[in-house]
Amino acid sequence: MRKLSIPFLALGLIAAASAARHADAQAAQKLVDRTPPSYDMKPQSLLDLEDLQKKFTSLAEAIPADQYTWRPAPDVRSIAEIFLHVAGTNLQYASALATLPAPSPLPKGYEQSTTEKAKIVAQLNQSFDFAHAAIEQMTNIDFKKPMTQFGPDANAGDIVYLIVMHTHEHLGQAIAYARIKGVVPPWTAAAQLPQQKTSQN
Amino acid sequence: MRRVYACEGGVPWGGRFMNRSHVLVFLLTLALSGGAFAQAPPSADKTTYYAFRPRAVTELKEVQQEIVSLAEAMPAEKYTWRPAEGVRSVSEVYLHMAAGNFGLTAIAGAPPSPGFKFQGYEKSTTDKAQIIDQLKKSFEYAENGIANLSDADLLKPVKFQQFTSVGDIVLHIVAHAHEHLGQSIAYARMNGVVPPWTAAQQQRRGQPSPSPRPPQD
Repeated sequence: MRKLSIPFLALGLIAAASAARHADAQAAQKLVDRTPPSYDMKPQSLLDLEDLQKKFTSLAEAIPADQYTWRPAPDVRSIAEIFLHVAGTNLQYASALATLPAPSPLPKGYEQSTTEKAKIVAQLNQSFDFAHAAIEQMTNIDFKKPMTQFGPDANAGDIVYLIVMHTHEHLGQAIAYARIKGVVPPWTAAAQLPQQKTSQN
Repeated sequence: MRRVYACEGGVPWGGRFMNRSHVLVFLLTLALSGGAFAQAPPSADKTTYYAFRPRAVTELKEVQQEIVSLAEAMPAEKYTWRPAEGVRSVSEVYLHMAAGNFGLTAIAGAPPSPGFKFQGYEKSTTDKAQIIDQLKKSFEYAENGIANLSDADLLKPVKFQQFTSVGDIVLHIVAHAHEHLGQSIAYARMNGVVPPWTAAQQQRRGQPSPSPRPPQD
């Protein structure tokens, strides 16, 4: 009996190890995505945000400080309010992704909190840096994470989508504001240096 | 999830989204799952769990609805207005959006739209009815084109500007439409036109401007 017990014990250990490996393999299988390979929108979203940050901050730099309170009509955001609206939205939604510790909640009346150019440019930069870093933390799997506080079917991918598209929309608005005030967007001015072009933006 | 959430000013903020318990759960999840994700094969990270194409189509439908209603609200005589020389006019912005939809969706692999020629298209007309018709056709073309792509199509390589895949182009179609919608809203405001959806909100609230609410665009 004693002679048998050692091989049995050895077999038992092997079986246990094998079962453990099998369980590990099963657990690993669950983490392997078996759906057909497809598009991961994270890299292009990050590139887009980098480009948007450059455009927003260079446009904010190019607009004279005394134009920051200009608005096209009463009840419509001023130049300063658009920039802070973009910064606030970046901070809010990127915080909601919960991939990084959130910065302090925005104070009430954030969009009207300052009209000072240097502070606004700094807020824009901070918000884009945070949004970029928050999305950088995500894997493609995270994009499906439900975020029902935004709607019954909403998920983290929708929030990334919203951050990017919301910023694009207000960039178009900000460019139009700049143009009516006689400011050529710096990237357009740079492109026009070698040869004059027509009908930009 | 409605796109205008961001601009409504009514989104709950602060502790509800990121309180301490959320941080704790998040960190625990990360600690428990991090190693396993690190062992996943590279292909796992390429896999979409997120419904990317349906989101793009939904976004385009929303932008379509807004830009068409804005184009209808703009008086015909304002279609040639531009904020400065060398900048697109109202009609040119609308046709530029339509050209983006037609051109980029074809680059993404949709059969080219018959009758669309990029050369000279933006200046081809200033007629309000024709431009609205072009806007509608271009958005429907882009929405159908994206809906008919497969997930595998999104990975196909593309060389266009800084974009390297069909998926990048699809993302850009939506971004391009949003950017010029924002520009068009500003053009409308500069000409005294309130975007119809904002006017409808104000009417529902019985709230003619100036109002105590934050600005809406």
